[in-house]
Amino acid sequence: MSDDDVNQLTPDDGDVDEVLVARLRSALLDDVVVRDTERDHTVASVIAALDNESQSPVVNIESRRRFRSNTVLQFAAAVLTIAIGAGALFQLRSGQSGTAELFVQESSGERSEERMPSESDEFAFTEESALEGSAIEALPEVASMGDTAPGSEVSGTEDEMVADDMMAVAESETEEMAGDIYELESISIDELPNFVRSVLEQGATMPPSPASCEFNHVELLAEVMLDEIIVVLARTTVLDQYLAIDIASCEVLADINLGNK
Amino acid sequence: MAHELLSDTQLLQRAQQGDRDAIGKVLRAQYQRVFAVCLRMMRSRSAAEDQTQEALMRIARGLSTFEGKSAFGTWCHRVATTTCLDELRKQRRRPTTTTLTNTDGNGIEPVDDVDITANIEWSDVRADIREALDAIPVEFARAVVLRDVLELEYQEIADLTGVATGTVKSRISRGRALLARQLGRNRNDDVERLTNGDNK
Repeated sequence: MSDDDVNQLTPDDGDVDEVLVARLRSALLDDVVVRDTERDHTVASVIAALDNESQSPVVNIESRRRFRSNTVLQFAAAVLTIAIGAGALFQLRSGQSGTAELFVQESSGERSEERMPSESDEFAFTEESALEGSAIEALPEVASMGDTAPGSEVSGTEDEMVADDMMAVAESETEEMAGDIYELESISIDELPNFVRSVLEQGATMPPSPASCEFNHVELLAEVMLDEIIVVLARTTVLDQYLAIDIASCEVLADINLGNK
Repeated sequence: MAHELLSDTQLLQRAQQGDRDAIGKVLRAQYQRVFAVCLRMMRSRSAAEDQTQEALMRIARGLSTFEGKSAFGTWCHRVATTTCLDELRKQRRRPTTTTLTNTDGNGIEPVDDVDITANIEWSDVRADIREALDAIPVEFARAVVLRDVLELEYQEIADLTGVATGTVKSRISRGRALLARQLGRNRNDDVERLTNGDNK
């Protein structure tokens, strides 16, 4: 009998041998010996990290909420475009696609009808959310972006990755966003700085919220989905740089400096 | 009040209020279980140590929002498994060699810093379990351990092992039956061995 032949079995309906389970847990978990020095060192490291985090202003990044201002989405796409165009995100080869074109624009006002997250929806590292973790449900493939972080090896051709990721901005909406229609529009990179400035003048910011990631001295601007990864765009208040942060891993994927262009 | 005089509940409350000493004590108390879970889920001891630290960090950060809907140890166990799952997903690996009874050839350390006498029975049980797990097909043993020991959901096991949830269920069911049979056989062998030994 193959596995598939018995797929209908429901193993929890009566065939749990509590004694056996207890013995398994004892053998495989309780019987693991830890070194006191190793334990104390690890705990001390955690406490030190907590202390460091509490010593400076912190902005929290909330994981599951979407900030769906049309303007902010446009801004997000613009910043991503800059990142792609500048080679900061995916290390474009020289001479390639000097006018990377991408824009995301909502085609209707449907977003205005979307419910805003209630308190119970907030990812506030509540008991349940901590249990679920940041990536379990929303991000089944959280590694791809991390794998392309600067300094890491990039698999596949860069051209393919750029193309994939450019499309992903438009296509990688989650189920809860299903039904929204996006269109790609073109804008030249030369036009982007002025556009970004105009967006910033409109005060495109995200309110701070309960968090799974914590970064100091940053102002949150927008969340976008990129290749199934939720990427938060943030501006550092100190250096006036822009960060692309994978909030599943709290990893800074790229820092983007617009400079004086 | 000195921490030594506090109950576990009071200590947890202190920790939730940000008392660093209390947080340290709470984390130390949970360290063994968290590490054991990570050790079973990760490929190496060093990876398990890394994920233990990450899990403890998550626990510390989440302390203030722990509402006591479940036992604190259960909550920590789940945070640990979630942390490891996140890491495994990031690595885009399939745990095809998830070690059940040993890690790095040294997963279960010799019990050399406690009263040996007090661990004779414990060690016997452990050896019995280990033999049984080794005796059944690894995919069945892995499914049982992921479900019954690490308490993962079916879908999580399916994601990790790359098979359908139905297959996961069937493997768990068959694995449990095989384990029970194997442990019974081992027990009978022990009885027979002891009996023969007595007769000699």
